[in-house]
Amino acid sequence: MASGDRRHGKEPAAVEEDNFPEGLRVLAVDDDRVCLRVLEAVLRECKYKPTGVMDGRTALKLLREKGEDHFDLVITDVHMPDMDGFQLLELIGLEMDLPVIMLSVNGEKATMYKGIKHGACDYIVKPADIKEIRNIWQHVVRKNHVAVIHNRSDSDDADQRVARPVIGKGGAKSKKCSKKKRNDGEGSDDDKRGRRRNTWKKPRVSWTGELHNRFLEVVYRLGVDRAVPKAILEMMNVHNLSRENVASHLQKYRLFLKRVTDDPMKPNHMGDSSESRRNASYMGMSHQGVLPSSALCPCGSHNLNAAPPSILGPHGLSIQPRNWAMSTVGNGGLMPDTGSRHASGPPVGLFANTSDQPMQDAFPRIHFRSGKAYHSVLRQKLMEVNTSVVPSSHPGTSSVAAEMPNGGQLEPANQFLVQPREQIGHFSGPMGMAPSAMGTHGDTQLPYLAGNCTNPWQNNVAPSSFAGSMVGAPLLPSSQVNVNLPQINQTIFAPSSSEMAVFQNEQQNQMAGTNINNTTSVDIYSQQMTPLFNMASNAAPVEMTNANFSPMNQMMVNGGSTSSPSLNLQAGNPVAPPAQMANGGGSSSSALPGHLDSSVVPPAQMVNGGGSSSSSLPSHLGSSVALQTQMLNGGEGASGILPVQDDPARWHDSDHQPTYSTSNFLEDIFASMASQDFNPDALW
Amino acid sequence: MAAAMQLNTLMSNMFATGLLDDQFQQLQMLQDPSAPDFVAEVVTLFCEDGERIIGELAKLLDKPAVDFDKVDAFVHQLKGSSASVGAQRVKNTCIQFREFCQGKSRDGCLKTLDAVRNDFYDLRSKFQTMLQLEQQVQASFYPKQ
Repeated sequence: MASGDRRHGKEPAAVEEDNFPEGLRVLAVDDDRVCLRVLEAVLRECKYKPTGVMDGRTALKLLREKGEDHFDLVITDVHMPDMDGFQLLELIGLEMDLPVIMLSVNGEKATMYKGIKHGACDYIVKPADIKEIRNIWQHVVRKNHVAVIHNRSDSDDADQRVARPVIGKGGAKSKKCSKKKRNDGEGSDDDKRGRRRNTWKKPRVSWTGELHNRFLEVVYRLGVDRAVPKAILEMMNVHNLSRENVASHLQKYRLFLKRVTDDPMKPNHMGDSSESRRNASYMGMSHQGVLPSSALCPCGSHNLNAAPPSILGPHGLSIQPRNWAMSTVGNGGLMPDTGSRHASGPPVGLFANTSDQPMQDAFPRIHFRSGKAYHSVLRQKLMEVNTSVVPSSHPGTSSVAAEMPNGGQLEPANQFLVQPREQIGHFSGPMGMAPSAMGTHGDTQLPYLAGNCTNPWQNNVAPSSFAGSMVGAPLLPSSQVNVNLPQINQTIFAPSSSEMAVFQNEQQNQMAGTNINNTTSVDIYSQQMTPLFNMASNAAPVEMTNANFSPMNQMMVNGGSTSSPSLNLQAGNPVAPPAQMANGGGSSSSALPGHLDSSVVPPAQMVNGGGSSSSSLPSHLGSSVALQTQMLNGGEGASGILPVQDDPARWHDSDHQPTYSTSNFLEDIFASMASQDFNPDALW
Repeated sequence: MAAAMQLNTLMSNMFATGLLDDQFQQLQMLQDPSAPDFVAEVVTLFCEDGERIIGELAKLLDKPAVDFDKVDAFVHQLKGSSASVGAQRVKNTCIQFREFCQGKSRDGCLKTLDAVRNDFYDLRSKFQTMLQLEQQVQASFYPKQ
């Protein structure tokens, strides 16, 4: 969303235009032509601009073709042959960020509840009263505004993020919260959407990787416990950032830390993970083991520099032992894990292969380079990875990982969640080193990394340093990691890893939109989901939480098969599509419930919508299948997060090929990302 | 004008007997210079669609093994469109109809189908009269048209 760029810090532009909401472009969907006619007439009477279609598929087609910017709001009938309103709602929620209102002559509470749960902004009973229709513009504004409010409020943002089911408002709000926030200073300039409706959206602060890194640095300098928003704000010295923004971000961060420290050892993430990790590439692509971290490696190293203590940050852990190099695709983990698998490391992409740098930084730094479309960068990176291109040195530019269009590169390290400092203590020696190691890394480019990353997955990684740093790299099961770091193995799998994994995923999700999670990660994530303090560059924390799934998200992205609101475990799909949380939030992950085929654990899908807190993800993931929570694009901006499951999920969406081979997958992802106004900021 | 008075009487009657409800008045309010035939169009569509749906319902209920889900879907659709035009009585009958569908009672459905049909045809004929009168009124006011 470009709006952030232009209007950061300002009140929503929505009210800038005097005649707003006149001209609101509404897509009306109803299979009954009488109802459709009447609805269109009412909409016109309100001075809106209605477009009527008679079935869901046409509606989707129109939305996809014209782009979601073309419409401000969708009103859809519930009962339709072919694709019913709920399915449409989900798909829209998954793919794009549009408020959807449900309409039905059925005014039963259960149906209404279902609608709201699926992410509908509102539910109107037919016949639509003009007074109600007159007010629908509020949903549009609310969606855009939510992020601003979110940023500003000092209240518990986490609450907003937490799956707040339904409430028409809540759904919209949470969805939006997780939406990308944009920070003027950072790079949302790549937002290619010059949507008209941006004018009605309020600018949002986008906690990009870079911004987050700075935040982390400052926080650490001040001391996590003593960091107060005002001081942080001053030290950060970023203009256009308000104290409230910082405060809310800090709060999220604290929650994240808390979560990480409280539950450092998440059993599932390590557990069977090795197996699953091996199987499920982090990216969810057919697991190939470790993703060549080479690409990422550099990024990883960067992380070291970042904030001192190993704080698990959404960006993952900065420290990644080379061996681990995993896929961390710097950006959000799209590691195409095909190709190069260097290190034996666990496929978990969590750890960027950062040479030997210890994990210094809980939140990896994300450097964005402006001027590139996010997805193109990502794609490039992924391709590189895929083709085993290993950037030999990452001098300075540590983030080999995708260069984010925002002007920075996402350091793969981001993916690693660095354990919070406190955690480090938990680990034995090697880990302990981390802090110090981290301490040394100063800023910016990880000097030590320069040139170190040539072989990310080689055994170069200094065990010791890594060990310390590995705090975050839990995801990699020791077994997978190259042996170099034996000690790491022990320590690494500290609980934080799960967090890290989560974060990484999130980050990755955010970055790449493709979240390929290993099953293990899924588990981890599920747990982590909620608090995921996803500092990932783009995803607004809210999104993270809501989405929580980032890592796990299933690829529901384009709707495809996952139309079913709750997890759709497609029968027969080995990988049950993880809960789709698409629908904007409304669908709380709770949907995940076990109905999945045991083999597949549908990762909670947190769709965008925020509302669905990941909470649902948990445990049912159990099965080996990689859970993929999908970060639905629809929702909060999880654009293009397409966790690729091991199993090529059959997405029945005609637009997506059901089967993906890794390389194809990436292509597809990118294609779809590219086609859908991919918004890097809105990775969630 | 006679036509106008007749129209007036007709409309009052339709409202008074519960054949039409407020929604129809809303439709009338939606008609404006930019959409001068709006009501006529909607009413015509309703009559066509309603006829078609009732025909489908009759066919479905005629089968030895009734597919109640399909029946329900049609009834639901009729209910929606009647609600949208303000055809209150038809709508209410549809509500009853749905109950029989859910109860999978074929007899109940058949009986209600008859009721729906009667209500629908009654409404339809009145609508047709209304449209004709309307045309006459307009013609008399705007002879050039």
